[in-house]
Amino acid sequence: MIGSVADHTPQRAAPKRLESWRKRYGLVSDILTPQRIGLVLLVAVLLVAGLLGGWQDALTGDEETLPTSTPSATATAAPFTLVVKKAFSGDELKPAAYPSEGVRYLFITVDVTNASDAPTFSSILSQAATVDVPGVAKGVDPRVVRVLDGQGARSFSPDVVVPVVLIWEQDAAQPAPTSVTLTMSGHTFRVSTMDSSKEWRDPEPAWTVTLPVEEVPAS
Amino acid sequence: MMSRNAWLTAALVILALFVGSVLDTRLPKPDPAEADPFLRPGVVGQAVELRNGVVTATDVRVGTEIRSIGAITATTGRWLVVDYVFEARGEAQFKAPATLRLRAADGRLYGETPGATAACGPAQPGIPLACSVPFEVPVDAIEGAHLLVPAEVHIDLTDDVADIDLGLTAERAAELAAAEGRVELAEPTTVGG
Repeated sequence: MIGSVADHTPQRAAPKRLESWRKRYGLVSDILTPQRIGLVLLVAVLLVAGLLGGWQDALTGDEETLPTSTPSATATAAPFTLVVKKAFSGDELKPAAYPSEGVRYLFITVDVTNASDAPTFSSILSQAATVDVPGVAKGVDPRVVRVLDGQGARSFSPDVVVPVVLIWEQDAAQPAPTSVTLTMSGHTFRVSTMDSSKEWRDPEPAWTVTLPVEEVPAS
Repeated sequence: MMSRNAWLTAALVILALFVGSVLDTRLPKPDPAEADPFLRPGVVGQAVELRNGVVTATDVRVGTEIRSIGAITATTGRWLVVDYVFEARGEAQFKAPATLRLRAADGRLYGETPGATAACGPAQPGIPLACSVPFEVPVDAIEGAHLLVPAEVHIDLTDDVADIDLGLTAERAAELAAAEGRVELAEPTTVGG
């Protein structure tokens, strides 16, 4: 029996340790309430996530995994069906772009078809197109000009093929690009969470296409 | 420290919200027709009454280019131009071209044209104003197309909308689709002035 009592002695150590931690917590329990501990942990998670670049990278995915298209191939970036044709660089392309000091232009020609069943503003297309070229400002959408008449594209009608040129301004101090990678984003048609309006929203990168950049042909 | 009852109450409230949300998605909704526009049907040549004016489609022209306010605008499809007369009621009105729509037989909508198109106005009460509105369309959207003219700024509002059958039968549509010339859009003109 004595041996049996001695065998049980170690099992009492755990409650003692728990009791000692309880006593220690009792000293600060009026300040470190469970709610406050939870709040501190939440703030810590947000802080660490923010320092590591936030949630955006996880949400948008790795751009290197985007599908690639080829010049003159048909590809979809909702609500548009697009045929990206050629890229040019130059100081002017009248009447779409006129000479401006310190500015070189990057032009990409695209045949655009609105595949939805209602008119879609050209801003949806310009927001969807991005290029990664030194000297082209990030976050600045390209102008969209109709090739047939040189007018700014206001909107795209369903199922009408509209040849356009996308125009970015590049800092002329930077070298003219020899190739350009265009990333196109697709949109989702959904109701706004702020009001009842339905629009094409939430651009998400859909595919990329890499084009050689030629000089604008002499007129 | 929250008591056990408080935690239980919070859990029950969250459960009730979840159940309510699920039920809300499954229960039938009020008839959406309440929010539909009031369509006022008509045909070419017929005056269609809106609460703030009268609109009459007078002609349909088709081409591959339009000239409006001096600018020429081209298309790979067709420009379908509807000539119409608008007479305001009560007070002077504008009919902005961007507010009008063309509805194809399969429901596709056209409007928001590029380039400059003169606004139809100001139309003074009792003085009819002749105007034109262009739509850029593919050839297959011509047959059976209707012109939609809202009383205010949008065809989706719960308000009067003239729904005018342009009389584009298969034969008439094929005839118009063959047109490849330029259509001239005149400035808004007072009728009989």
